[in-house]
Amino acid sequence: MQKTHASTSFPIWFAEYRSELTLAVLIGLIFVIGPIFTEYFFTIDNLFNLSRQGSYLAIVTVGMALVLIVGGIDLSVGAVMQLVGLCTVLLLGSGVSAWVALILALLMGAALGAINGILTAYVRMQAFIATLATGGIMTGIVTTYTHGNAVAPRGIDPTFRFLGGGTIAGIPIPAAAMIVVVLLSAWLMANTVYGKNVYAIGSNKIAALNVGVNVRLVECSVYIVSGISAALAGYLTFARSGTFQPATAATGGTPVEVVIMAVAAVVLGGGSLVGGKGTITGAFLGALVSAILLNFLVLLGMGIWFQRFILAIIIIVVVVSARKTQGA
Amino acid sequence: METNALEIRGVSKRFGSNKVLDDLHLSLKKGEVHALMGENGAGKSTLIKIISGVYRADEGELRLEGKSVKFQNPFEAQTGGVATLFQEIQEISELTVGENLYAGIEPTKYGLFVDWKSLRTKAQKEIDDLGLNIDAAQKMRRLAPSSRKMVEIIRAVQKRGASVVIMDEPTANLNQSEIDALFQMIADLRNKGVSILYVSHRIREIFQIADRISVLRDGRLIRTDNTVNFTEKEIVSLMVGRELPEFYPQRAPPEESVALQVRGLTVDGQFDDVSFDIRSKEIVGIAGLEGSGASSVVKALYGLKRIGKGTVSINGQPITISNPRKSIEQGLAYVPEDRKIDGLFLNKTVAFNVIAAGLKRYFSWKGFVVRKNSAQVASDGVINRLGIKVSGPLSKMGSLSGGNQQKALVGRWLIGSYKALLLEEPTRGVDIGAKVEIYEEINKLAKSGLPVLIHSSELLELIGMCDRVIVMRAGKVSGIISGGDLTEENILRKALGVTFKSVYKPTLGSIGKDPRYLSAQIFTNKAREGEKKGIYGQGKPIKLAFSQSVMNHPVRINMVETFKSNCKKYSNVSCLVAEGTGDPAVEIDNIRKLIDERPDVLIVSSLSGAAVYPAYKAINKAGIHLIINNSGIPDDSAKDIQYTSFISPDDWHNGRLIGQYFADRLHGKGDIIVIEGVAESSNYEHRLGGFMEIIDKYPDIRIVGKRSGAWIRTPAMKAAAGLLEAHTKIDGIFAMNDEMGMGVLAALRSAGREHGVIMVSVDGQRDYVEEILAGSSAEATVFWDSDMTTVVDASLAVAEGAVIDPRIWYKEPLIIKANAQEALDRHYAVREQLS
Repeated sequence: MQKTHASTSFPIWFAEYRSELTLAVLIGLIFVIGPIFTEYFFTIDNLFNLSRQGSYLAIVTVGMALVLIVGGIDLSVGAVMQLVGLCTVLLLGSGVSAWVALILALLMGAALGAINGILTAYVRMQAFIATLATGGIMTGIVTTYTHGNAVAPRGIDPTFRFLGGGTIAGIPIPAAAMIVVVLLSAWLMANTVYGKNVYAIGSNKIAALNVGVNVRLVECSVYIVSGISAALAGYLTFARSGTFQPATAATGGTPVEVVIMAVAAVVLGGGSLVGGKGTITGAFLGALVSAILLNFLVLLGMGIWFQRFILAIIIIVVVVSARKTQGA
Repeated sequence: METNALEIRGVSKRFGSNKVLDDLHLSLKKGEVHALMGENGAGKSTLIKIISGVYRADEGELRLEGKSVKFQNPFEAQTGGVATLFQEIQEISELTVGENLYAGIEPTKYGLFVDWKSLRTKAQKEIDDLGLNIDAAQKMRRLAPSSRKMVEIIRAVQKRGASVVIMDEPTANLNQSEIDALFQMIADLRNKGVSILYVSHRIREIFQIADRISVLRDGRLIRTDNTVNFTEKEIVSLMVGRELPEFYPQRAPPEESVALQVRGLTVDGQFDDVSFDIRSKEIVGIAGLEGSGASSVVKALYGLKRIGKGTVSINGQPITISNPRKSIEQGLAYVPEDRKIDGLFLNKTVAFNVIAAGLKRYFSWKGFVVRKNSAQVASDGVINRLGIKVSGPLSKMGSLSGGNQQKALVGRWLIGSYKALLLEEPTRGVDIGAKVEIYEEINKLAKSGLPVLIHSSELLELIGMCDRVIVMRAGKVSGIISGGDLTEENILRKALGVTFKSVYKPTLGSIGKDPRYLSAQIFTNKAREGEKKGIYGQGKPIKLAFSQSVMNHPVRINMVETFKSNCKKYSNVSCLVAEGTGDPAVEIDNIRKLIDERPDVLIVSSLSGAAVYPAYKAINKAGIHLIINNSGIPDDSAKDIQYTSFISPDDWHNGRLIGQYFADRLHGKGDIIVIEGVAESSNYEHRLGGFMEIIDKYPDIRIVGKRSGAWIRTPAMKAAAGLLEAHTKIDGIFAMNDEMGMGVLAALRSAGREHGVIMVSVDGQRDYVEEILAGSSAEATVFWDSDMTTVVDASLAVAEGAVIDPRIWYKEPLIIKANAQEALDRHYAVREQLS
């Protein structure tokens, strides 16, 4: 019987991973036609830059993917990035080492995620409302503290800027972190009981309860994962310059934009807002498409808004074509 | 030639390479109820969708009232005269019932403003006319699902002036009174000349209301014929395309050891103090009306309800129930009620669904990393074992048919080992082939040693599958039924908690398991339907004859009166009555005269014992249906006598009730005398048999004297006087009927021994019940129904060719002081109005 499974015919396999394949083709396409328009596209410099820029979004997207698969949504990820980033910079300013700050940042992300998780899974608030509110509180704290100004303490641990801007084995550290996060979570979702439980809840929460899944705990946990991934993204974003800057397009977008880009990436990769569907690979590829697109268009001298425009069109095309094949 | 209301000519429909309908011809006569039957996937839904304009046929044509029509969409079909009631509820939940009923056709003022007042009163009247308890001003979403369905039915069917009405599983989720109301609506529509295409899986319903039946299989019409020319079994085999083996599997006897023990289980606000045992290998059913707590008990056992009190143990080990996860760990398996809502992951693969419950325990390394290969092997094993039809390893659960989905849901628990199996509605919405297979699997699981608890609203399923059935009513166990008592009737009685109503409207005895038998409910419904029209059935003349043995007794007189009054309800039914004198010779002569009149059915109520057998044989010889009523059931010496049915109050049951009353009242100790009737009748034998069956269990209760009172008052008085003289201390008197009981009372009074003795008898005769009410020594009687309504109903069904149950017993409750007034009011008040 194992044989039947192994010899899964190509068309079925294709239908199953249609979203991922479409995105892979799209990325390939940009890499092929990119150099025709601008020579700079294919230089090492640019690819470094691209992977670094793309990594922040990709890391947030991984957390968002888990939340969407379980059937929820996390509108606070952008705010978590900001708040954690600010706290990290302040900690470093008070003399804490970069590694200790990293651990504290991740713990803080987990704690913020746990608040979201408790509100949705145990207090039974709708995820949209709960995370909208917590995100609002976090953004409020940040702007109240900074009054919209940058925070740049002196004499901070130089390792911090190394983690943001340095390389390891020739790969920019944020990109390396992204690869680790993506591989780890892809494995988690595809190969563990936990991953299957996340899918089960997203597909049918009552059925999941009836087959013995600890629904509330798992639901709560995905918000913690999301909080951690947002915290990591925030840490890396501000490690680049070593200073906290108010949210702009340069830091990956405003909190709201981060949320929209992350949700868009998951949906591009085959996820759905009603849950139970999507993969980490798909979400990662979705994030990659939007990063490459941005990089490519900026090189062509077109602004970030044009990237948003093209991305929106791609979302519609990919989502509609994916639905057609799954129709029956 | 009369044009048909709807004609389907050579319709074919393909979906991709799959031919769903193949050159289908079907016609709907004017004013008929035409049932469409077939397994899931036979093409019924596609056909309905073509008729109602949702799909268009690839080939063939539709003719409505003789004209060819091509509906482009459902709206065109609706305006063209085809109303369709789809399975899904389609109402607007934020509007009121009235607004929904009149959506789009609201009554208006000045042709402009909606006339809300008239809308509400019209809607309310329409609902009231159907005898439904729904407030037209209520918001739709506040109604129970079944009431919503009723509103939808009224809206689809009554309002739009359709000439063809299509109903797809209209009775799903309806309760009995709503089903009755629906059938009333259908009958009214039919009388108005509207044709109804009725799709349902429920075969018995179809027999109840359909004039003709068409069976579809694999997109083709297999057979269309009048309902009377089908048997249930035939339909099933036509639908499935093969002879089904046995519908319900051969059960293995349960073991003695208790496997699942439930004690004092309570969930606040839902059920209270529920206790039962399930033995190893035993299948126990749990039934009850919605809200009775039956379903909640199963859910509570699985950890889906917060348990207030009580203990549950498996194989002697107490278990703690808190949530499904813990329940599974402790060996409980659960198949939920609604596979789509609380069972399956529809957008996941079949394998994902099958291994879901055992994921952590059987297919993971240290409860964390999934062992994909062993999971795949296990799920393939289940898929093969249950014959689940999947198109490939990655096919999604949602793409499977209902039967295959349900099999997968049950199959989930074939992986790993469990200690008890809990199921709710294990075969809901599943076709017959899949049903049989699911029953077989449940049976196998039971045979392997598991205790099984099934909650189902299909009583036949419970009767077929279970060793015992626990019946719940209003949050309490109202009875546990097993063995030969396991009938729909008995379950319903316990579920409804029969009150005194049954005294006046006899509910009926056992309903045969053999599907050929027309169940009692069906023939009474049919009779009530005819009563409204004043014509029974199709209106062909029916002649019923009744031989009454003797007219010396109120019960006997009442029989004749009610026989006549029931026949008079129908213009096409004539009746003959011969009244005897108690002399067997006269009785036999009477019967011979009745035979000469060539009735369709001859009803005999005899007290003559074997003396009347030659007359029975003469009836057999003449080829006339014989129904024996109330007495004189042929004994073993007369095996060659054939009778269509024996219909009577259950005297054995009456005897038991009386025996138990004495045992309780005398606290198991005392001296009783018996005033007997004439020995030559089943009334005598059964009353005494049932009575002795109970009394024999109490060694300290002695029968100190017996004398015959010949069923009559004066002889009974003399017999009692003699016994009273012989025994100075008597605690109880069993008089075998009320008439003799009255004689005994007179004897007691003249002997001045009215106090310290209790008397119980049978009949519920007016003067005796009045004595009960007055608090005399006559403490109780069992109502013995002499109303022949049921006998006439059954006879009419027989005259029209139906096969009815060979034994129909009515079981009636005891009348004691507490309910005596009610008995008098209801029974005798009604009787006086009639006369």
